[in-house]
Amino acid sequence: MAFWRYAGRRGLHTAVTLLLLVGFMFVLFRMIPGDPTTMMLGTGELPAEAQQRLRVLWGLDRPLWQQFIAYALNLLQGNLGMSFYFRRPVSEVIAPMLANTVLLMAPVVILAIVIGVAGGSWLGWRRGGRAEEIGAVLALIPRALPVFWTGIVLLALFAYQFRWFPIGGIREAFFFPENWWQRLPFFDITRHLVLPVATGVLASVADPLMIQRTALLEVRHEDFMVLARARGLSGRAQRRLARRNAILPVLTYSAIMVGFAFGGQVLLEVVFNWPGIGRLMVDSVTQRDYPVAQAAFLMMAAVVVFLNLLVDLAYGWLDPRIRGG
Amino acid sequence: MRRRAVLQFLAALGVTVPAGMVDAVLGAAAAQPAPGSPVPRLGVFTPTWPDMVELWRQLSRDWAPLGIELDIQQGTLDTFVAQVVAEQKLPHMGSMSWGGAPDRLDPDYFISEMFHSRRDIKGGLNFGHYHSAEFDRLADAQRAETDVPKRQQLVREVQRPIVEDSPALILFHRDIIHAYNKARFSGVTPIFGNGIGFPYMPMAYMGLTPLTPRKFIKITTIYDIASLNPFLTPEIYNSTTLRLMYATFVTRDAKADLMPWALESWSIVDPKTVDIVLRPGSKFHDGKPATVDDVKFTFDFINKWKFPALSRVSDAVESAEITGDHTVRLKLRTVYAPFVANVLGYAFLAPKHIWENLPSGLATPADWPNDHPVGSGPWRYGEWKKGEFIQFAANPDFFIKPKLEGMVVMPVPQMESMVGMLERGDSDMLAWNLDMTLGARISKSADLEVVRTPTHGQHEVRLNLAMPPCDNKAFRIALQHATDRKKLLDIIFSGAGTVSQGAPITPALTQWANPDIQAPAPSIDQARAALKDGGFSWNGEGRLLMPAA
Amino acid sequence: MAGWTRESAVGEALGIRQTALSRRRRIAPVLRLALLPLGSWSGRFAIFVLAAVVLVAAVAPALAPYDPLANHFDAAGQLLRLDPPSARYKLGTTYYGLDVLSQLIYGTRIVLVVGITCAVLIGVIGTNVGLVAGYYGGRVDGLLMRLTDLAFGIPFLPFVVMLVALLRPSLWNTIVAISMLMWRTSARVIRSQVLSLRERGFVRAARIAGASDLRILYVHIFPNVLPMVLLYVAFDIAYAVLAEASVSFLGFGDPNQVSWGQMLYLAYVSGSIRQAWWWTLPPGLAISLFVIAVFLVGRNYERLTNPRLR
Repeated sequence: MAFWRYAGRRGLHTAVTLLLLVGFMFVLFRMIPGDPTTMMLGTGELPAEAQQRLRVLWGLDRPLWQQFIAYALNLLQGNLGMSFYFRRPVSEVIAPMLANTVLLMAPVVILAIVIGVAGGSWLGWRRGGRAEEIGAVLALIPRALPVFWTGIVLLALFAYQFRWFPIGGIREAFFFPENWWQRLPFFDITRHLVLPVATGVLASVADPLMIQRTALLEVRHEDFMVLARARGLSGRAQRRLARRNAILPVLTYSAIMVGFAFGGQVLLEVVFNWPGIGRLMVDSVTQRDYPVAQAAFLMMAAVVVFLNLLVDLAYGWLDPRIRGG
Repeated sequence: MRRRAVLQFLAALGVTVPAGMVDAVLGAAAAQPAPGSPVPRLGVFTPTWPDMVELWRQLSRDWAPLGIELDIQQGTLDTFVAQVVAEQKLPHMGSMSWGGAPDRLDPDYFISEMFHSRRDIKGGLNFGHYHSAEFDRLADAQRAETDVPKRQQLVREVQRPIVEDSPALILFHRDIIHAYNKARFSGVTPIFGNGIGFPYMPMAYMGLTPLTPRKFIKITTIYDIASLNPFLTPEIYNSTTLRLMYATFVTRDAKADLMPWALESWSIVDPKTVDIVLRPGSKFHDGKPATVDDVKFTFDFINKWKFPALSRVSDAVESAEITGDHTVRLKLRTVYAPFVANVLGYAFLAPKHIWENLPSGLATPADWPNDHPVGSGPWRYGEWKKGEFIQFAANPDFFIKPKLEGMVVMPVPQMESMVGMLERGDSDMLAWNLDMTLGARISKSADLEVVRTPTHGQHEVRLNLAMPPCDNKAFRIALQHATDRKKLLDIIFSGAGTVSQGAPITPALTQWANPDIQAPAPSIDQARAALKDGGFSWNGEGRLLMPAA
Repeated sequence: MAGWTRESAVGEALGIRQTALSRRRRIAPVLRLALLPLGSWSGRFAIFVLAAVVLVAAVAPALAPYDPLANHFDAAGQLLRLDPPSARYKLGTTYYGLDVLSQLIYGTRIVLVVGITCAVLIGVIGTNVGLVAGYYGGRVDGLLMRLTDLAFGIPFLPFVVMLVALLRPSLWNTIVAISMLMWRTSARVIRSQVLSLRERGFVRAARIAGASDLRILYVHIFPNVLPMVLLYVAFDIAYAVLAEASVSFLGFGDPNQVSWGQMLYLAYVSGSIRQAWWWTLPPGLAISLFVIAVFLVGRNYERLTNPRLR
C-alpha cells in the first residue's frame, strides 16, 4: 500500500477517535449530578430565580443536543467556550496552567529518558549476571513507590529537615536575593523545581529503562551484531552500535510518555503545590466547570492521539510492511 | 429531568444505560416501615471531610444502644450541595458544617434560611423539611422588627421551637485558630467569627504593624479566588477578598459590631427608608473622587442587571435617590431587620466612570474580567497570579491608613505546607482553620503565636422530618439525649469550641442567644425512655421497632 | 506516576513479541507458570511477600491487636491523639486515636480486594476486546481499536476522580473506574498476538474441521495468549493498587475502608506527616513492598513469554 494511502487511513482513524472523545466527554460531564449553577450556590445563598437566570445565561436551559451542537461548532472554530467558574475564555484559564505543567514535566520526561536509556543499556549488556538482577530490582523499586509518598518523604527530608529546598509552589512571591548565587537567573524557579522533578524522574525512569534493556537484549542476537563481533569491534564500539539500534522502542514509548506527562502529574502538583493543568482538571471536575474540564481532557487526549499518529506514520514510512496491517 | 435528558441523548447516540442505574446509585430510598416492624437502616449523607467521618464513627457507636443502625454515605461537598441542597434529596439525616461568614452573624441567617418552611424548596437550606407555623410566625416577626430590644426578644423566642421540635442536632461551634509570626508583626485584631486572618472583616488587617524592615505581610490560606469581578461571585472567600479593595458601605469593628466603612453614617428613617451618608473626601484608587453619583449608580446598576451574586441587594433595595451632597435615600421593598448588616455590609461602592463604560458585547457586566480592580477600600490591587498569590498595596487615602505597605495572600491547599511555611518563615500568618494539635506544635516556636477566636459557624446533623422514623418527635428527642456534644467536640477538635445549647445561635453571641434553653442532657437511659414513651419498642435482638399502629 | 501506570515497559516490549505454543504443550507452561518465580532469589522474595500479605489478610481479625476503627484513650480518659509507638500501640496512634498497626493489618484486605478485582475485570475486558478485534478484524476491529485509542487518550487519574465524583466515593466505584480505563494496554497487545495466531496452521485446521468461531477463539487461540494475559494480570494488580492509593490520596477514596492509601490521605490532611512518622511510613512502605513483589513475579513471567530474555 502506498504510504500516502496509509497515512490517510491513519489520519481518518485519528479523526474518528477525536470525535468519539468529544462526544464521550460531553455526555460524561453532563451525567454528573447537579448542574454548575448549584456550585455558584455554594452555601445556599443563591435564590432559585437567580439560579434560573444563570442557567439561561450559560445556555444550560436548552436541550442537551442543542448544547452539544453549539459546543461542537464552537470547537471547530477553535473556541473552547467560557469557563463557568472563572467567567473567562477557557483558553485563558488553561494556558498559564499548561505552561507551568510543561515547565515541570519537560525536565522530568527528558531526564527519565536519558537516564533510562543509559541505565537500560548498561543492564542489557550485563544480561544474566548478578549485577543485572540487582540492577533491575533496584530500578523497579522507585516505580513501586506511590509517587505522592515519594514526594512527601523527599519533602520531609530535604525541605523540612535540611531546609535545602522550598516546601512547594513554583516561585516565591516577591523573592529578594541575599547573595550573588541567589541573583543568578532562574535561581528561584530552579530550586522550586528540584524536588518535584526528582520525584517525577524516580517514578518514571523504570519504564524507559526496562524497555531499553529488553530492546538491547534482542538486538544482541541480530546479524549485524554477530558480524560486528566477528569483525573484532572493540567492546565499546559494539555497545554503541547496539545502543543505537535498540533505541526505537524507547522513542515509541517516549511519545506515550509525553502524552501521559500532561495527565499523570496531578499527584506531583498536589504534593508540591504546583499550579498546573492536572490540578486545574481535578478542580474543574469537582466545581462542575465543564468547559474547562472538557477542554483540558480533550487537549490531553489530542496530544496522546496525535503523538501516536506521528509514531505510526514514522513506522509506516520506515517499514512498508506495517502499512498493510 | 436532567438525567432523563441525558438518557434520551444517550439513546439517540445508540447507547443504552440501565435506566434505573443512576437513580439506584444516587436515590435516597424512602421506604415506609410498617408499624411494629424494625426501624430500617437509617441513611446518612455527609461530606467526606475527616472530621465528618470521625463524627459519624462516634455517632454510630453512641447510637447503637438505641437499637438503630446507620448506613453512612459520603460524598464530596459538591455532591452534597447538588444532591441535598439543590435536589432536596436528604436521606434520613445528613451532617454539615456551616462557616462563620459575616452575614451569618445576624441571627436571621441561621434561623430563617435553615428552618423556615419558605426555604423548603430546591436550593433552600431547609432540606430537613421542618414545618412549624409557630416558628415561621416568630421568624417572620423578628425579620420585620427593626427595634433592636424587641427583635432580641423575638430572636430568643424563635429558638425555643427549634430545641423543642429538634429538627436538627446542632452540635458545636468550632473555634477559629490562626497563627502568626509575632517577631515580625504586631497588632493582630482577633474578631468574633473572623479570627485574625480571614478576609471576612477587613478591620482584622488594619492594626497589623511591621516590626522588621519588610513592610508587607505574607498570609497563607487554602483558597484562591476565581475572579476579580465583584459582581460575579457570591462565594464568601472570593467576595470578601475583593471587598478588601471595594469598600462595603458598612463593616464590622473589632467587637464585630456594625461600623460605617465607605459611609460616614446611616440612619433609619422608617422601616422602609434608610438614609446613608457617604464619607466626605473619599477617593477611588485611580484618584477620582467617590461621590453620591457613584452610590446611586451602584444601586441602580445592581437593580438593572440583577446580578445573581448580589440578589440580596436587588431584592431589598427598590430605589436610591440623591438627597444631598453626601446623602442618598434608599427605599426598601420590604421591612428587613438585617438590612444594614447584610445589605449595606455586603454591597460595595462601585466607580461609575468604570462600570458604565464597559466594552460592548458582554452578556452581563459580571462577565467582564475586571483585570485591574478599582475600588475605594483600604487596599489597592497589585497583582494576581492564579494558584500563586494575590498582592495588595495599602491605600493611603483610606480614612484609616493601613500600617503595612502591602499584603500578599498565597493559596496553599495543604495544611502541612502552610504550617511548614510559617515555621520556616516563608509566611507570616496562617489564616486557615488550625486544630489544637498543630496549634500546640506551632506554639513551641518562640516567634510564633497561636490565636483562638470563637465563631458562630457550626456543625450540625439535620434530620429529614419527611421520613420515618425521623418524623417522630420522640425519636428525635431520643437522638438528642444519645448525643454527647461535649465528648464529640473533645474528640474531634480537642475541645476547642463552644458546645451548642441545641439552638442555631451560639451561646457566645450573648446578644442573640437564649440563655434559658438547654439541649436535652446526654443520657442513654433518658434516650431509651423517650423512645418508649413515644411507643417504640425493641425486639429480642435489641433492634428498635417502629411504634405499633 | 499513576497516569501512565498501565503502560508497563515490559508490556510495550512484549507488544512485538509473539509466542505460539502448540496445543500439545499447553499444560506444561501452566505448571511452569505457577512455579516459575521460585527459580530466582527475587522471585522467592516476592512470593514470600505475597504469601505474607495473603496470610495476614486471612487472619487479620486474629492478628490485629484492636478494632482498626476504635478510638483509644489514656488512663485519664484523654484521647490518645498521635501517640508515638509504645508497647501497647506498637505503631502508635492516628490523629483520632486509632491504632496504626491494626489499620495496617486490615489494609491488606483492601489491597487484595482492589488488586484481584481490578485484575480480573481488566483481564476479562482486555482479553475479550483483544481476542474479538484480532480474530474478526475489519469493522469490528476498527471500532474496538478506536475505543482502545479513546481509552488511551483519556487522562487516567482525572478520569477516575471524575467517575468517582459522578457516582460516589466507595471502594467498588474506585475499582470500576480504574478498570474502565486500564484494559486498554492488554487489549492492544493481545490483539496483535491474535492477529498472527489466526493465520497459524492449527487455527486454519480447526476452521477447516468446522469449528465455530467461539470454539476457535476460546479453545484454540485463547490458551496461546494465556501466558501473556497472566503476565498482564500480574502487573495490573500492582498498578491497580497504586491507582487506588492515588485516588484515596486525592481525597476521593472510600472513607469507610481502612486502605493504606486512605491512611496516608488522613495523615496528610491532618498535617501530621512530619510529626507522626509512625503513621506515614508504614502504609507507604507496605504499598511499595507489595507492588515490588508483584513486579518481581511479573518479571519472572516475562522470561516465559519472551524467550530471548532468558
